[in-house]
Amino acid sequence: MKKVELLAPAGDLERLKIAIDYGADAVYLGGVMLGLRANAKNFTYEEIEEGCRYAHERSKKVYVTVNIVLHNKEAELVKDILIKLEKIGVDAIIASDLYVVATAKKYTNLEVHLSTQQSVLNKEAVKFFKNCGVSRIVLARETSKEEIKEIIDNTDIEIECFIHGAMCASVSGRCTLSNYLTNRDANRGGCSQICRWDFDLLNSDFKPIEGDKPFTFCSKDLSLLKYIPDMIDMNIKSFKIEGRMRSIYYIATVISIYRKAIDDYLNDPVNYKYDERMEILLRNCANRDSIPQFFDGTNDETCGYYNGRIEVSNQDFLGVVIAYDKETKYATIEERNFFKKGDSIEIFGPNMHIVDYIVDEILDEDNNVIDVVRHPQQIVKIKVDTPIYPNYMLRKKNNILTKS
Amino acid sequence: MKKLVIINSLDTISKLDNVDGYIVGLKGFSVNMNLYLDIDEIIKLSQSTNKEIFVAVNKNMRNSDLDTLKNNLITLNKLNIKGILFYDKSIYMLASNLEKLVLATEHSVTNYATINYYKSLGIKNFYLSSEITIDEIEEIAKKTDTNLFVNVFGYLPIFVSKRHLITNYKKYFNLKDDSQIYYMEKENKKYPLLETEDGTIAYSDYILNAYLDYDKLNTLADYAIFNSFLIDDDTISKVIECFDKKEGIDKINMLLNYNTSDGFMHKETIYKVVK
Repeated sequence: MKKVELLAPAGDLERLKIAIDYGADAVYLGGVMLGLRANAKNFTYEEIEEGCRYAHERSKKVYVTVNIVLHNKEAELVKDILIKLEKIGVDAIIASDLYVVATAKKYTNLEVHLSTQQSVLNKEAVKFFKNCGVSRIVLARETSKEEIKEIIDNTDIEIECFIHGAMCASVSGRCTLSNYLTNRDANRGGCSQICRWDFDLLNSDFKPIEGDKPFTFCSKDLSLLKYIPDMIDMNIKSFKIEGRMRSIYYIATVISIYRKAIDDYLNDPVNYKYDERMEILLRNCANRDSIPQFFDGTNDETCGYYNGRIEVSNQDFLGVVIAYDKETKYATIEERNFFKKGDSIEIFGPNMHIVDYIVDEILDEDNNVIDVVRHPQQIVKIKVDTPIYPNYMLRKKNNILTKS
Repeated sequence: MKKLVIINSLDTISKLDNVDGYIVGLKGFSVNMNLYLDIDEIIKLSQSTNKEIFVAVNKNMRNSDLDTLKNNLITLNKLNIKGILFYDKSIYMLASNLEKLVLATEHSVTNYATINYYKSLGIKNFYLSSEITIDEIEEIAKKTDTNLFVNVFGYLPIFVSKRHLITNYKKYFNLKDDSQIYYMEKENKKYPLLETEDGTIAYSDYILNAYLDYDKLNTLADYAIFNSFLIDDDTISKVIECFDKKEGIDKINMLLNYNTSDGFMHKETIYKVVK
């Protein structure tokens, strides 16, 4: 059977474990130096080692981003960092700067994947980077289905594509908005997401051009769930989810859905059917609209996300299971959003295991009966007859999956 | 240090005799330029001037661009042009002559080690990023043996998108306006926006003016770039004269109705926010 890789973001160890538990074949993460999310939590070397151990015990892989644009002083650090990462046992690095690639090839046996920061859109550029020693290329998010196919058919290197998550408004690597507006280096991990800001738009006479919502570069998110069969058939090697700073709920939901789509298609391509309900679940968990973007050739006004910067945080995520006692059938829950006695909820885990549940008895940490759970990270117990496990999650019942 | 100007029109050439050469775009294959010529026009230009001509072939190429790109590179190689500014690595693969190539990846020509790696691949010319300090430029100059290009004057391209962001906004809200240039404004700072066939370009809210560092840069780099985007020919000519005759930064500022800044010459960008 054909094998493809589902590649998940891991902002920290907790999210790494969630991603793997929920079905990722590999995770990518940033170390404390030289990654493009300098303001994410990021991993110490010890945490990378623990992450590798957790992943390798489950036959999964760990890739580390070393993808900043180097300045002189960072160039001097590269060799030592790469040697350390090799010793720790990471499976590959994701690099953008060719000095990183060259140093990895010269001093280590690390596999090197080329970051999307190089914005590779064509087959000749793919050949160039292959000659430089990379074993996989993450294509630019601006590539269409036809372009990806042409690249794969005319080259012999692993191709990785983003399938889900936020889009840069710019060609990756060609944006320094953060540098100029906030003095944070966009290409050294300091991106302050200026492309999501609102601006006044003025014409050449400096007169305002005003729509119902302010001007922004902001784009809808990417979702290629609908195209998973096409992408598998095109021989794309790795399917990448964006979002190292996203929540565990987001990671669990998105990975579960794509895991199921990939496995369902690989197991029975003839009878596979795209399940639009999953698309709704994806949108709900991100609270942002998502579309196929450049993959299906869409590059018009429908891609814009004109919402006046109103980003409503997701309230569906109610809590995470931290323990389950099989004898008493009490699950210990850490609260993430308000819920109360009588609420209809879903408890879900890996492999799309979903338990419908109506909140009945709630106990606090001292086993007192309470009716509502309203404090962030409050620890409570609920009785669930169906066995569930740590890292299962509670969400509001949305009835999406019960609709035909 | 030779002086190159990113020119606005062919007419500009006759007004800029005090420079060593010009940079133009190749229509359909360039971004961040002010004048885009087709290959026949570039042939004529190369035959009509004894100045150095650099052609920017610096957009991100698609598969569908490659055949024409290859033919254009063959033609450019035969012409009396000094260099080809490139971004996309397909150009390295398709170019018949690496001598003329100038690595011009805008924001990522930032350190000596990467430059030396590209040099090992045969590249000899490097257009440095505007987001590095003069101290970093000095270190690069010391630790490389290549031709260096530096921006010294003009608006700086800070964002390139494959999306038509202004057209999309106008369409979405059914707005009518046919300006050639737009501005996005935040906190009283205006950032010029320009749409091209290939997408959208945003520029800095200020004109880079490295006048005070020019003498030092002169000892470090081989080419100084003046960008005449949104600046008329007379003004850019007078500005260059000020640089040549060391007439002082005040005189340059008097010529301009715009904000000027020395950019990142003396200001490091923050790598990580300390909380």
